[in-house]
Amino acid sequence: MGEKYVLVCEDSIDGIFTGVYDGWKLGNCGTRVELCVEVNGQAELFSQYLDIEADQEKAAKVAGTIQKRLGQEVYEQLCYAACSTDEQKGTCIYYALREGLSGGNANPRVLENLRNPYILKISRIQLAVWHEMHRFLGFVRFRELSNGVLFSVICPDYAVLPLIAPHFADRLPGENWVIYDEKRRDALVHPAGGEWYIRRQVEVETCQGEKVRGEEQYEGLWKEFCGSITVQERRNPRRQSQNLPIKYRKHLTEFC
Amino acid sequence: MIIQEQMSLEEKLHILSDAAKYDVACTSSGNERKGNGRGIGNCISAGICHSFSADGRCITLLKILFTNECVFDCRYCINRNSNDVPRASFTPEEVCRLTIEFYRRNYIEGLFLSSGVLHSPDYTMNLLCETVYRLRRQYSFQGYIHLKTIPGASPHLVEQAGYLADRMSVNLEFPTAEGLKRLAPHKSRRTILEPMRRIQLKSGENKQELLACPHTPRFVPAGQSTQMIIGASGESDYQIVSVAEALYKKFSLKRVFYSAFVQVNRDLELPLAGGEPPFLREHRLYQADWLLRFYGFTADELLSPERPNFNTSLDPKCDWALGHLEQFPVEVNRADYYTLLRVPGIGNKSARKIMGARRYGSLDFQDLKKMGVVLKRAVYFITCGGRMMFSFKMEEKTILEKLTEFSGNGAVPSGKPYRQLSLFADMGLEHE
Repeated sequence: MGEKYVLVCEDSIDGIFTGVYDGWKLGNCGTRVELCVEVNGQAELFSQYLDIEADQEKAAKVAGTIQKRLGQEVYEQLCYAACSTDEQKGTCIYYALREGLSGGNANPRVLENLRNPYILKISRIQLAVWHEMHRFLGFVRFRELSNGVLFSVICPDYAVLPLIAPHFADRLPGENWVIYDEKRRDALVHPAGGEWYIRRQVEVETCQGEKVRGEEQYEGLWKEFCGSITVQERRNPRRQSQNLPIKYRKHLTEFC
Repeated sequence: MIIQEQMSLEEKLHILSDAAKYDVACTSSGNERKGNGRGIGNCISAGICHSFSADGRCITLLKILFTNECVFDCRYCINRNSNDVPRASFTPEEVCRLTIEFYRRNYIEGLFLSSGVLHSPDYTMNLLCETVYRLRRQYSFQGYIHLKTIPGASPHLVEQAGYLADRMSVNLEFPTAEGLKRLAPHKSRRTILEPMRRIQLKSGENKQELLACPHTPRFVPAGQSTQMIIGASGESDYQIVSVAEALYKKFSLKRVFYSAFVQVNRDLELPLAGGEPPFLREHRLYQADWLLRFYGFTADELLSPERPNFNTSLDPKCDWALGHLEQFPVEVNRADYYTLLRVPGIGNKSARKIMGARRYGSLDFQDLKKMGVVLKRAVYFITCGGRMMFSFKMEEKTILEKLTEFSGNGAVPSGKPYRQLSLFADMGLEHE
């Protein structure tokens, strides 16, 4: 039978986990189930397309099952995979979970089976997302605005805002700060002493005049520092480019 | 020397960060600490790179000297007493303010504070302690602090500092006492190794205290590191690697850094000017350092008094494998972790992936390639299911040619002709 279900999910962790929840029963009798985040090109014959709306409760149930039966590490890796831009991420997550939870015995080491092509792909894409998330922990640059808010703009390949939020919330609990993803137009907002949240589809106008007085002095000091600590005899622009690709430099104070 | 009293913060930062750049310790790793909810900052155990300088190195901490005034006259150091360079000094308040403002903007993970010796080791160490104390208590700073120990400082000051810093370090500079005496006459082995030992012992005690009471303040939680200068005192690679090994085993150091000697002073005791700093040698030492820490090698396996320096064309691991071909080939589906690690082209991550994946079935060469094993090197040393990738036996010299072809980083220094077969003869290895 060429029949299969294609579940079109929202492109977010919650969206894909909802797809997993709804697709589970459908796949129980061996029917092929695929998850995607958008329909590309023509719809295939003999495939049933279902639009899945993200449901926080269903997503939370799936998250809870993964954490309890497969462990925190597997859960985190699947979250990273869900944030990637690969077309097949949803399907890979679905079939990795099917393998991990099959036969009544949960296998917390399921993601080590790299001979399974779905799991091999997950190991690659989750690592790429993790790398970018880790890079942005260092590449976010705040500037203080006249209203006392620490403001930052980033341009990541993957949707890393929810992944970097806990780190900055723990680091700067007493500050008002905002990190703006200019690619997706999402803003990560943290009020001083409060909880972080994400606002979508936000337009932000940024202009130099809004910086607090004295901000330019600190930017200048930082640029000065980055220059002074270079050992001239060790100059190596190639190595610098390898470690710090040009695409990340747009919003780094020391390169502006 | 007159310190300009009215020097601006910009000028001070320029002088005192420029003066600190030859201390190559550049990590913010080794300690995980969550914020306390009231102050500012936390620590990530893997460390975070915030930027990269024009020399390609990671920028992660505000690396500065408190002052570049110094009563010592170490021959290799730009800040030596007899050099006529502009001198400056921060105040503790200035250091704290710079650190906090840079930290809030996410420029840095924390502070790396070193210093020239102002008046005396104790006077200087006191100033450093005061600065770091202010940063921790007054500014509630929970981020990373790496503090240098001033050689010759009193034990009680070093102990005080240990409860405030995450990592502490004191630079060994040279692997031999003779080298130190010749090039840094105000320092001695004793003034360097004694504080290292004290910190090690105190850390051990602290770990016991923590078991009994988890809320005990932590003492130097990210451990110690040190640095050796390469190419200034005529030492061999074997001497350096042996000392590094002893530091890891006997002093429980977390990291040893190697810094290629950069000629900043002219001095009769130093090598003649001209010629590049020994970057390839430094690179080989870092490769060997990794082999000691993560691959289960010992210094005596890599080098010996008869063979005291590394091969310039091959990295140390390939070099070892070629000299021990009787230990190969290794069967990837059965070998244990440390045996897998000895194969050129298999690193820690690949070895772990192999151990995990082979529980689900036998692995072949294609599987290994997908997992990130560098097959170009590994093929000469492994079997999958009992079979090698090539059906004929390769000669040693062919393997050597192939490996040096792929040894991208191991470029032969210019001026030396590339020597093939004589490599074995030079090493005293008998070709059977």
